[in-house]
Amino acid sequence: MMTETAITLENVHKYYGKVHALRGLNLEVHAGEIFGFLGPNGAGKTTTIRCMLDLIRPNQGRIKILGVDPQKHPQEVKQKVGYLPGDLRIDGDFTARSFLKHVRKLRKNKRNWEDLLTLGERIGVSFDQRIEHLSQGNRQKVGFLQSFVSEPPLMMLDEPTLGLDPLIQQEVLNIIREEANKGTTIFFSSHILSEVQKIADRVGIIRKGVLVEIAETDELLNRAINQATVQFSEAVDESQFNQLPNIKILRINDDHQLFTLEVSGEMDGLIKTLAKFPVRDLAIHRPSLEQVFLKYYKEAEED
Amino acid sequence: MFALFQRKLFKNWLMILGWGIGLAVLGYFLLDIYDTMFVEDVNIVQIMEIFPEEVMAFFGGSDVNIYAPEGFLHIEFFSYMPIILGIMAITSATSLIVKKEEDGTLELILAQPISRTAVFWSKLLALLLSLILIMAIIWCGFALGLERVDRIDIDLSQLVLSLLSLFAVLLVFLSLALFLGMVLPSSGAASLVTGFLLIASWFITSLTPFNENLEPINRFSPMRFYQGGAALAGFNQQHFFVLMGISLVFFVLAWVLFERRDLRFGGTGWLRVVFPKKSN
Repeated sequence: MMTETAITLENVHKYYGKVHALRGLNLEVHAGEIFGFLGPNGAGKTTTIRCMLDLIRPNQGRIKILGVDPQKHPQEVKQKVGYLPGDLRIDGDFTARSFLKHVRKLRKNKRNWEDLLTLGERIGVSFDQRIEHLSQGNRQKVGFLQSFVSEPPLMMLDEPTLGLDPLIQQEVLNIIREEANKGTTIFFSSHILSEVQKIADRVGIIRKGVLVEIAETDELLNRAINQATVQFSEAVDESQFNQLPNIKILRINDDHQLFTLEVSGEMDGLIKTLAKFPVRDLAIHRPSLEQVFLKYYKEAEED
Repeated sequence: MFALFQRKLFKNWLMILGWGIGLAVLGYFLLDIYDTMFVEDVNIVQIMEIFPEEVMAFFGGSDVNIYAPEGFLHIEFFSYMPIILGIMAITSATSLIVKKEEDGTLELILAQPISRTAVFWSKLLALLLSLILIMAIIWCGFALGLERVDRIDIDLSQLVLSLLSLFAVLLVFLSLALFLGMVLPSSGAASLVTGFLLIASWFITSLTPFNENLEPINRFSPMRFYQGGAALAGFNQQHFFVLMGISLVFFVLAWVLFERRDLRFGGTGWLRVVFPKKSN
């Protein structure tokens, strides 16, 4: 069965004067998935999202959002997208309630008002306080909630948990997961890699305007380098391990009984070699997405 | 579109009442002065002769008859209104779109399924209606004032024409500010340049009768098409339509530029002059 595509970017370039912000970005997001878009500040995450919504126009390349070109039919695209900006700004004289009502007037396919209020209550939105009197975190809740004013097939959330406390962050992730379970495609960027790891089906890593990696979250983690700590019952000669193609010895303690190894790829060779020795303890450390992410950036800096 | 129009108009209510009532009160009490000139038999012309002609030029020129209702209203009210209301119109115009881009609030609005054209024109129409309401309140101030004074006889429908002339000249600078906001680096720069042009235009048109060398520049001064109080004695439709035409050109240019260019964001190049780029 062919996977439907929600977002397609082909060779997208964007310049800000002399700054080449997007350098031939290619990206495909499947319909119904939660896609985590990772990258540090200035990598091009927000620029990508803004191009997809026709807030800014790419200088070159092709974009399709749910089969529609946002440069040619921006309203049609925006009708299908719920958007939370990374740098959220709302007129201070609105209350959350009046702002949500205002946004509702601008949209079709409106979500049931009571359902929206219930969502707001789950994340603790202060409905009747003026926006200008709200803290950054509370404004973020209002911004997050406004992206749910309609029931769009695609949501673009730029740093959805920015400034929220851990409990609310968790609730926001729950809401995103529930929305995805209904079939909504979620495209979100984040700095908090643990949350991407928790909910994203696939991850894309952007660096200096180019997508350097795109994979299923689990696959990305499996593909990454593992670290193994082996405690032997007696001293062991390291030459056995030096011969293994995908093993690198990181540390050996003085009595040659405790080895720290880096294992890339298959574990089979290591396990078979270990079987020849009296192993007292073995610990495999799976890297977090954060370590994977940092690895990509360190490699890129070394290039 | 109506939601944005309604919102903008609602946000302007303080501006409408503040400027409208303030200037209406001024108009209301100004008419007292006209009566006083006759009752006290004050020779205003003698007083006015103290001032050099160049100073009087800014109030319509020394040849304006202050004893005639149109002359009186021009000197005391309409001569300086383009400056006072012009500053308000300019800052309102640059706040309409560009200031909203700079403070980041326009991003979320433009992310909604509403075209840039609808955003532009609904906000602009709300601002124009606000300006019309200010004019209407000023007119009411004069109308109430005329009820209680005896010596000044002004046809209220003629007063509408003076206000129309004022509205037209304000529209020129409002549209210019909107256009410059689209091409200059910031709303502040657009306000500054348009404000400068407004004052320069006022000076040039006022001083041209005393300095022929200014005539070539005065040809490009919108203020030369402004009638003010003189419209009470005869409304110059041609001048009115010239001003409206200039405004329309700037409005359309501003609209096209807004349609074609990138939305500006703090830190993403908005400090550069923005020229529209063709996307592939």
